Amino acid sequence: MEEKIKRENYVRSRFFKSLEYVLLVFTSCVFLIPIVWMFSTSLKPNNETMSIPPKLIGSTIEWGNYAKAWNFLPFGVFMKNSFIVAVTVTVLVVITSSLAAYAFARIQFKGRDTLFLMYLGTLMIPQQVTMIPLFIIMKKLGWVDTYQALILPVSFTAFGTFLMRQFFLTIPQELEEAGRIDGCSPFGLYARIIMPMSKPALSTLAIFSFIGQWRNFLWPLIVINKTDMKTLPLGIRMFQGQYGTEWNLLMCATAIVIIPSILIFIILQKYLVEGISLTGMGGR
Amino acid sequence: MKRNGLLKKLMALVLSAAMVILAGCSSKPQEAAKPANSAAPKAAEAAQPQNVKLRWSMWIGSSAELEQWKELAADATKKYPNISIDIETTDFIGYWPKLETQFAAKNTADIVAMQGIRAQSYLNKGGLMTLTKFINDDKNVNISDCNQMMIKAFSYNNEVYAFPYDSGPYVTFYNIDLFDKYKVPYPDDNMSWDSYLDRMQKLTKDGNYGVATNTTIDHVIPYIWSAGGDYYDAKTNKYTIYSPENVKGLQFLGDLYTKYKVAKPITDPGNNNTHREQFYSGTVGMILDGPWFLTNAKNNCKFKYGIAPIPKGPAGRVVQVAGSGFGVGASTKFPKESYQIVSSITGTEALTKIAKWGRGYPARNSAVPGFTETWKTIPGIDSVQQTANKDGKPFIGPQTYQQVTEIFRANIEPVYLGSETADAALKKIQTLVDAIK
Amino acid sequence: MAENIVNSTGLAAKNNKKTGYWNKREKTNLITAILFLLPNIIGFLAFTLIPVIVSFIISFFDWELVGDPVFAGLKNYYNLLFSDRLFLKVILNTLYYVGSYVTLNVIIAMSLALWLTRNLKGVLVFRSVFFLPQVMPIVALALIWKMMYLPKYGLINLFLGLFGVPDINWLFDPRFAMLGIVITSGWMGFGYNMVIFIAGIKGIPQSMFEAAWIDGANKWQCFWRITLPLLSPSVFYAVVMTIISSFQVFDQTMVMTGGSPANSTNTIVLYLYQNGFQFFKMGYASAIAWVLFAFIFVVTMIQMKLQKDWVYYE
Repeated sequence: MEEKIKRENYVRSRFFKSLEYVLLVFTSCVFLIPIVWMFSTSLKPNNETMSIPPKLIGSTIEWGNYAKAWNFLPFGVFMKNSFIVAVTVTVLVVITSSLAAYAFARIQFKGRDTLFLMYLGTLMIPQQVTMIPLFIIMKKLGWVDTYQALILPVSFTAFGTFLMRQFFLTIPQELEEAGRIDGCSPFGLYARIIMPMSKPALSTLAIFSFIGQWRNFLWPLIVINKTDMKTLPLGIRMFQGQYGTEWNLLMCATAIVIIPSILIFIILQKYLVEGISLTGMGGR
Repeated sequence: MKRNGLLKKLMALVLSAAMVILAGCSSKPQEAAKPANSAAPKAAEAAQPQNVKLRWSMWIGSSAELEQWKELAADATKKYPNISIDIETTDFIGYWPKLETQFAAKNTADIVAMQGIRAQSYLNKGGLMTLTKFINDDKNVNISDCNQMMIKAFSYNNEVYAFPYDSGPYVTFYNIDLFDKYKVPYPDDNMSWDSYLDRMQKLTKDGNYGVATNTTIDHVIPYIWSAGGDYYDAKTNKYTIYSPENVKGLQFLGDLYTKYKVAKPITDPGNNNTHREQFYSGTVGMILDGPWFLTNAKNNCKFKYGIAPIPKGPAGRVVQVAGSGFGVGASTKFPKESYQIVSSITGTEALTKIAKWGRGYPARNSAVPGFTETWKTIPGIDSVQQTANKDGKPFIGPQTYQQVTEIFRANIEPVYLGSETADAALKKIQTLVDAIK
Repeated sequence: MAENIVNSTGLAAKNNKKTGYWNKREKTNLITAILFLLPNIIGFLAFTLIPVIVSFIISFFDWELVGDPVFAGLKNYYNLLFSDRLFLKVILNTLYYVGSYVTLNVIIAMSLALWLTRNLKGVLVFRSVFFLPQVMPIVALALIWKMMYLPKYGLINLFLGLFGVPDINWLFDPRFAMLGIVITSGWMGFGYNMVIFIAGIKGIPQSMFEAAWIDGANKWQCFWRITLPLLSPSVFYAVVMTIISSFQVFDQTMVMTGGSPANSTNTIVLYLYQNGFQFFKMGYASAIAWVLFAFIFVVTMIQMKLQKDWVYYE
C-alpha cells in the first residue's frame, strides 16, 4: 500500500520527506539544548558553573572532572546496587502486574471493579506519607539496609497493573474465544495469546520500571544507611553539600548514570516495540 | 447486598495489619535504656565494659569528609576499644527527612548529628537523651571550655543534650580583588550601615554587585538584631516579628535590592547556597557567612578574599553564632558508650583536627589555636574570634521555628521584589505566626 | 430477590446466571482470578495498601514524629479545610499546574508519537532524544533549567527577546514562576506519554489502514477515525495517569524553587512535605494527603464515567 502511494507521488513525497527530516532534526536539536548545557557544565571548573553571563565553554576544559566525579564516592558499588534493584524490580513488576492485569481485564469475578478501584486509589496517595508506615514495616521485618527493602516495596504498586490492563483491553476477544474453543486454560490464554501480543506494552512497562528504579531517590534515602548498599541517586545527591554544590561533578555523574537507562530504552524499543512491525506479528 | 467474599477478607487482613503497625510506632523506647539511666555502680561498669557496636549518623558532602569523621571515630575507639562504630552518612538536605523518619520508627542511630538551630524542635519532644548524668560522672569533660552559646542551643530545661563541634559567628567575606579594582576601602571594624552601603554602591558596576544574599531568615537576622530588634522573646516565649526595630533592619536589606540596587538580584530563590555560588563567580563584593565557609571558599574562589566583622547597625553589632554538634538518640541501647564517643569526638583533640580540616570555628576554646594557625593567611581572620567572643548571640530556634522560617521566607520575598514594604510584610508575618496552632 | 439485584447491575447478561448466588462459573472465575492476582496482591497488600491505610489513620492524630501520635479526631481536617489560607493558595497553584501541564503534555506527546511512528530512518535515535529527560536525575535538570530561566542571559529570555518580550526573572517572579515550572516539567515529561502512545500505535494492525486507503481515506481521516479511537485506551491511561501524577507534583517544585517566590509555586505535595517533615506535623500532612486523594479520586471517577463516551475497547 505504501509502495502504491510512493509510486504515485514519488517526487512530491521525497521532497516532503526531506523537509520532514530537517524539521525533525531541528526540533531535536532545540530539545537537546538543555542536555548540551549539562555537558558544558560538566567540563567547567566549579566556580564557573553558575557565572552570569553563562558561557558555553569555561576558561578551561576539565576532562578530569569525570574521573573526579567517579572517585568522589564509590559509584561502582552504587551502580551495582542500582542494577540489581532495577532489574529485579522490573522482572517482578512485569510478571506480577501482567498476571493481575489479566484478571482485571478478562476475568469476571466478584468485587473486581471495587478491587481495581482500590488499586487505582493507592496511586493517588503520595509517597511522602506512606513511606513512614512503610519504614516502620521494614524495621519490624528487620529489612533496613537490605536489598529486599529496596526491591519488594516498590514492585507491587498499581501502576503496572493499570497500564497492562488498559493494553489487554484493546486485544480483541475473538482471539481468546478461539483459544477457549480449542480448550486452552486461562493461563494458556494469558501465556500464549495475550502476552505475545502485548510486547510493546510489556516493553513500555519494563522501561518505566527500570528507569523508575534507576532514578528512585526518596525510598532508598530512607531505608538505606550503609554506604555499600546505596544506589546511584543517593550518590548523585552527595554532590550537594551543606554549603554549596559541585555542579560540574554532579553533571559528570549524571552523564555517566544515564547511559544504562538509555541503552535499556533503545534495546527494548528496538526488539520489542519495533520488532512487532518487522515480523508482522502485530497484525490481527 | 453484594457479598464480596474476597474483598471482605482482604479488608479485614489489611485493617488488622494497619493496627499492628500503629501499635508498634507508639511503643515505648527500648527497655534496655532504662537500666543504664539508673544509678549503676560505676566500679562494676568499668570492670566489665561490654563490646558494643554503635551507629553514628552524620551528613557529608564528599568522601573526603567521610574520611575525616572516620579518623575521629578511630581515635575514639582507640580510647574505648570495646566500642566499634558504623558511620551512616547522607547528604545534608536528605539528612533531615531521614532523621525524622527514623525517629518515627524509633530507629535512630546511637550518635546523632544535630544543628544548633534545629535542636530545640527535637529536644522538646524527647528525641535526644539527656547527658547531664554522664557529664556529672565524667571527671575528664570540661563543659566550660565549650562555646556556651552552643551549649545553650543544645540545652532544654537546664539539661544538656548534645556537645557542639563548631560554633561560628556570621562575618563578612569580601572579594579583595574586586575591592582593589574599584579602589574601595576594605570593610573594617567600624563599618556602619552607611559606609557599608557606600562601599556597595562603589562596587556595583559592570555587572558586579555589592552584596548577595539568599531568601532565608538567617540573612535578615544580623540586620534586625543590629537594629535592636529580635524575632523571639525567650521570657514571654512569643515571636516578636513586628516591631519598629525589625522593620528598620528588614527595610534596610530590602532597599539594597529595590532602592539602591546594590544587591545581586535573586534568580534562584529555592537555593540557600545561591549567595555563595554568586560569590565564587567573582562578581559579588561581599556576602555574610560563617567560618564554615572557609574550606569551600578556598576550593572555589579564584580570587583573593578576606574577612571582616559585619557592619554595625543602629544598635551596634549583633550576630548569630551557629553550629552543629552530636547527641545521643533517645532510643539507643547503649547510652553510656554513646556518651563516651560523643564526648571524644567533640573533645579538644578532635576539635583541633576539625579546625585544621577547615570545617569551621571550633566549639572549644582549647581548640581555637588550631583554627587560628590553619587560617592565619586569610586577611582579617581574627574577626571570627573577635565576633564570637564579643558580638555573638546564640542562634536558637524555638518551637515551631521551622514553620516560622517558611512563613518568613514566603513573605519577605515580596520585600526583595519591591512589591511590599518591610512594615507590611512583618505585620503580615506576625499575624500568620500568631495563628499557628 | 437476588435475581432482581443482579439484573439491575447488569451482571446477569454476562454470566447467564439464573438461580442461586454462587454458581459454578462464578466460583471458577473467582478461583482463577485469585490465582492470577495472588503474586501481585500479596505484595500489594503488604507494601502498598497497608501503608496507605495507616496514613489515613494517622490523619486523625497529631504526630510530631519524634514522640508518639496523639489522637486529635477531625481537628486536622477541620483546620485544613476551614482555616488554612495557604492551603487554598496551594490548591489553586496545583490546579493551574495540572490543567496546563496535562494539556501541553498529552498534545505534544501524541504529536511526537505520531511523528516518530512514521516510516523514517533512525527513528529510534529521535525517540531516544525526546525520552532522554525521563532518565535524568531531577537535580541535574533543575540546575540546567535554572540557568535557562535567568533574566537577561538565560536562553528563554534571549529567545523571547527576539519577539520583543521584555526580560522576565522567571523563578523569582510570582506571576511567572509556576509557568516556568510547567514548561520545564513539559520538557521533562513528554517522553513518558510519547512512549505509551508509540506502544499503542504499534498495536494497531496495518490491515485497518490498508482497508481505509482502499476506501480512499486521507491521512486526517485515518487519524481521527482509526488511530485515535483505537488509541483511546492508551489516551485514557495517559490522561488519567498524567492527571494523577501531576496533582502530586513535588520534585520540580522542591528542587527548582522550594515553593518560592511567595508560595506561588507551592504545590499540595510540597506543602504536605513541609508540614510533615519540616514543621513536625505528620498528622496534618496525612490529612492533606487524603484531601488530595479526594480531589484526584473525584476527577478520576468523572473520567471513568466519561470513558464510555469516547474510549473504544474491543
